[in-house]
Amino acid sequence: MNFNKFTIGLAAAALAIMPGASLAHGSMKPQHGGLVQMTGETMFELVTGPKGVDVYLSEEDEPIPAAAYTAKLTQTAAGKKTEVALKAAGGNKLSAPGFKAAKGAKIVVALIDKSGAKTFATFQTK
Amino acid sequence: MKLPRLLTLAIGTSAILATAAPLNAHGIWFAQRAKQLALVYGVGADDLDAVKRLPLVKAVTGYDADWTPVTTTLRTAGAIPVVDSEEPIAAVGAVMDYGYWSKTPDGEWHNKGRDEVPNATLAEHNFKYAVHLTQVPTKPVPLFEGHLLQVVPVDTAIPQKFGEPMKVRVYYKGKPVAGATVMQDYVNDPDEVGPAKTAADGTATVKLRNQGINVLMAIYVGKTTDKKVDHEEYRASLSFVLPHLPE
Repeated sequence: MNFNKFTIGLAAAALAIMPGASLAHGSMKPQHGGLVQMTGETMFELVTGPKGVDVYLSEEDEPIPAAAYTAKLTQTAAGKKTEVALKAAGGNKLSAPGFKAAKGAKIVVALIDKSGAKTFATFQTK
Repeated sequence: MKLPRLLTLAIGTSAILATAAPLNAHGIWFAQRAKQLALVYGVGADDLDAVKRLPLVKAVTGYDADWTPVTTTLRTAGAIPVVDSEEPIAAVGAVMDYGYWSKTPDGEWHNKGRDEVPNATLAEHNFKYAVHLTQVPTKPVPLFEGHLLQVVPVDTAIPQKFGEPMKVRVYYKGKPVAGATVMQDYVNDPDEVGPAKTAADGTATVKLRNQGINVLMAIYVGKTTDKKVDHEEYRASLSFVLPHLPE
């Protein structure tokens, strides 16, 4: 997949998370040229491109199996919400093939584990 | 051999009872548990059974950073109730109606009003509220619907270092109230000596004690026309976390 990593950026300042949530439980360097966001100890890397959106999951620098979760992506752009399921795509990758990330959109990735515990990561596209 | 054991047990039990807080001293607040945001019922380090008290929770409300409501509920996750929302939330609140409680001359509390406990030395209706901020507000914290008592930061930005003062305003039935108690650390200093009291404009200043979770607790005793009790007691927490340094 040919990802366009220049089309999106993380609005970190706008998020200004108060808890230690985003304060490093592992490297914050993107491994796939995307945008990273730490929630609790789970790092989300969002990679968008013409063929769709991928999300990679890791904790403390170790990939975690995407198949252990159900996940969805919600995009809010120009006041309109679009939702798409993220499917496990091998290893630590979740994918929404064909989904197009809009410019200036808020993208929320919701991850739900088998116990029902939910974790969110919020990204802002440019 | 058996007698000393029994004696030890008796002394131990007495000691526990002596340190147990009266039920009306308990409050509710939100705190992180295993990556989730949980509703806690207790006082000090006592994290009691909040799951069995869930039927007493009358409302749960979540908001995003713009204070737009987000569908939010409490979900039982094993021994604790955790917050479940449709979207990320910037704040969450809960309302608990703890009901009528009457104290008899023997010191026992009964979950009944004075109408059923005529010899009560005290009868009250307890309400408990909690508001938790998951991020620094970018807009003033509003009054939450159904929270008859609420602690609100006076400044939008919350200090980020422990030891710094923080000014809050306490609202009772939507208006600033004088004379409310504001405890600065309900978890680590539940017996705070000389807690702050709100001034005529409803404000009080506390010192943030923790570079971690801070649980402020306002307490106010209000009058009532309800003949079943002498008064109503309200406890309202405001909790938030000051971030630690990067690891």
